[in-house]
Amino acid sequence: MECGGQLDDMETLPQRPPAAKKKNCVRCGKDAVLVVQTSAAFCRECFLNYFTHKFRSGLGKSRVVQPGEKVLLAFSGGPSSAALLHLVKRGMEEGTQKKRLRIEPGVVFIDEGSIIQGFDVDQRQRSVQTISKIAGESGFPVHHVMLEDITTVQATEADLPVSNCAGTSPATTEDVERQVKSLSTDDTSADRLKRLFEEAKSLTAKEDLLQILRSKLLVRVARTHGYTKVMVGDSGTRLSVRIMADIAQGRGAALPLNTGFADDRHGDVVIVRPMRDFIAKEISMYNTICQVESAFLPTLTTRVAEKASIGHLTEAFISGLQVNFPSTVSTVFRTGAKLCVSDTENRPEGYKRCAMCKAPLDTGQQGLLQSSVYKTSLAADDESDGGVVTGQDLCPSLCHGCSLTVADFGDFSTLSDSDQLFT
Amino acid sequence: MPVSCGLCEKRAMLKRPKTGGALCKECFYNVFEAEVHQTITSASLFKRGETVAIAASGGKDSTVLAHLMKLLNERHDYGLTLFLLSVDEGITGYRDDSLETVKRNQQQYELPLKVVSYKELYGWTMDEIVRQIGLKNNCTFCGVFRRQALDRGAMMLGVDKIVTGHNADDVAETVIMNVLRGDIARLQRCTAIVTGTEGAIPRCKPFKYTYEKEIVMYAYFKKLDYFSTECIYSPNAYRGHARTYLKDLESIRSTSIIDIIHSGECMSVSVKKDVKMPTQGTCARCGYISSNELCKACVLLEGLNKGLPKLGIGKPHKARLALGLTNTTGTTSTSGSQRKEGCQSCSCRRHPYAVVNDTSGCKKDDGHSKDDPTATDSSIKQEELGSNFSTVGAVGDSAAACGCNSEVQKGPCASTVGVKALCGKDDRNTPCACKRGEAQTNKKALGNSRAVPDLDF
Repeated sequence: MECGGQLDDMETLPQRPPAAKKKNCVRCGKDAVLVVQTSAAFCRECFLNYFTHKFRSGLGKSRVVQPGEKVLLAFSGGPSSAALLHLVKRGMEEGTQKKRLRIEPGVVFIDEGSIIQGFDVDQRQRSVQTISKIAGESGFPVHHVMLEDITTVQATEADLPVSNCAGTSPATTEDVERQVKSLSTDDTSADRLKRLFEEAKSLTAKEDLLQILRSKLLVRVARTHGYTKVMVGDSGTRLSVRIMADIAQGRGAALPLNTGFADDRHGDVVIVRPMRDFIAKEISMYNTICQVESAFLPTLTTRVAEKASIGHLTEAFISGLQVNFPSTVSTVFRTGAKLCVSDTENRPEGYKRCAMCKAPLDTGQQGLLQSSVYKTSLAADDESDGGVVTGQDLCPSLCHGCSLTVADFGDFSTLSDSDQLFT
Repeated sequence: MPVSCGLCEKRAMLKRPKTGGALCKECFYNVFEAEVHQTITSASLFKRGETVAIAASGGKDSTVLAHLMKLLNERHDYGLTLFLLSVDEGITGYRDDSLETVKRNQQQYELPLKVVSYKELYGWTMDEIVRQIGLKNNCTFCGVFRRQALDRGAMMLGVDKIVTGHNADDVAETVIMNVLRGDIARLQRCTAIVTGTEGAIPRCKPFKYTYEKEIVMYAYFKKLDYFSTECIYSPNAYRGHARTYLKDLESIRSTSIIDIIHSGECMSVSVKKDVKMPTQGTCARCGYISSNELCKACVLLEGLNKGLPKLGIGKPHKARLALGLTNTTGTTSTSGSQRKEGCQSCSCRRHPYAVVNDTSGCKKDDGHSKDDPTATDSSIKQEELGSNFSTVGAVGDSAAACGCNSEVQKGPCASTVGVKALCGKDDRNTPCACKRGEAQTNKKALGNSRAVPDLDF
């Protein structure tokens, strides 16, 4: 390999002399308690003002959320979504009447205990109680749904369990009992979905499908209860990892939707990402200062090797680069922010979308790639006569990334039988 | 249990990394060549009767490219006239051996060969450049010079197209690098299979969808003669991160490289319209393509010739000031402005001398020869103090400029009125020189005081 000859600007930056032991706040001159970005030092009050102002200006600048709208806050128990709940609550309570955040919020939690975490009934009950306690402190109505609800038909959505936690009191025993009761009735769909995940050939496909199912379930809950916006707590660090992982999985066309501020691919319900201007470190600092409580629920990549999936490898790669080059996350994030969906102009005329993730189809534009790659792939498939018949039937209506995901699942009939997934 | 070929019944010799299918040797040849031919015809890279220069470096990519271009040109009757074009960077022990490989390829494939060298185009070999700049940033010089050298060599040959051996791994690596560096303009055009269509000679990448591993397999099975040693000067630290990440992705999912290229192609049409992009133009000095007033090769070459090798690296506005492109009127209250004025005055004063007197050329050469020991001294200082104190090196560069200034002061005054006015400026700048010396002394002392704690560790 020849030498690259690239401009190594970051290498030529002179290393800073060791910083002084004490720093002053860049705003008020008092003693600083933390350093954000690369050099800005803040005290507690100024950091809170900086953080809150950044959140509110992000919402105000985009003008996506209108006053009086019903907004569904997706809560997973993690630090970023917990900070989102706290910021919305503070925005609605503090400040003058004119400056208050005037929305009608609700909280939703997706219980993935049996599918992802492998919990039994007792463990699920404890995790639901923990989540209910944390979410209940915000005072917003809380909706509990299960991941396997995605396979049920539309008619039974009215029976989804809903518990309203008033004030700071935790969920009542009656609500928890209703939740546990619904666990046993849905064993059939839970088993089918669990088997589908267990038979996947790669963890990358599992993660990708889980992300798609989560988005679909959030949109469904929002439609059922009349919310027009869904706020998710994706931080800038998370979105940078997703930008790189989506590029590595061939989802360049869907990048503006997967990482942009507003995701309007579902039409009437828009997914909003107001936490995207913050890196994970700042969110942790905010949660520490404001004593925001969060719960830990293991994910698909908890305690697995670094090279188990593309998403996990990308996370380690971005985190490793961020240590030596502190502007990695913001640079990658800003690169993704400069992209937009290119088909918006042609939307009325034959706007094709992926049947699975609803992103604009990218197979038509790149006929060159398809003829180069799938020519030999289809030849190999003809020889093997593999069990990807269902996936192969769906290939013309899937984007490139979803084609790869479907190819890693052996039997897709569990999800394809229910027409909800591919509408 | 032996594995059979996916296309015929023979025993499989390899497993394709691109699709994971098992193939025998002959089927691998056919599939490999058919895919490259498919890429060439789908993108309409060539027209009948065109002259094409193959950028040959002796490595595996260019060797397989030369072999395949000749083979497909004969088999499918493209009607092309093929040349081999090589660049001699002047790296002892590396480039001369690889050029021997290219000469052997010239005889094997019966293609005419043209070699252009850095020495004849720019006056500097890569060995001399590394002596000036060190091992840290020499890839910048080599990459900029080689890119322009290929264009100039192609113009000498009078060809219509240039083909390069960039494979799928290189293109995917470039996509990742441009996302990590936030370079949206390069991200927009780095996945195009034909680049340089406006103004310059177009460059084509027939191997854009071909994996590097398959190129190595093809060269191995065909027993092609290629040179495989890496460059002795390439540290390549930041690109190494992207390459490691790419190899890890390939181990997880073998189609990741094609997926990254596909994402790059989709992103190239997804850039927002309000994002500011650099505009294409021509260099004011050499006339080749550039997005600034001076192209990068001219800026780097000027830095080398002046004894300021770091001129083109880092912040571009320093290079602009040193080259006298903009007139900055700074106040004399701060030492920074004084330093800028000194550099600018030095540069401005040279040009009128060059225009007015023939003997000023001799003075310029004297100044140049005097600059060399200063630059060497500066690099020695840098090696002693390490990268933590590169600002001291910058002060050394200012000292070099100060040397130029004093050199001009010692010159005899001409009798014309204009030159006398310039001499008048000299008197005004003398206190600035004294202050610069004091600042330099202070920074040297500071550097020394910092170096002492390092010795304690």
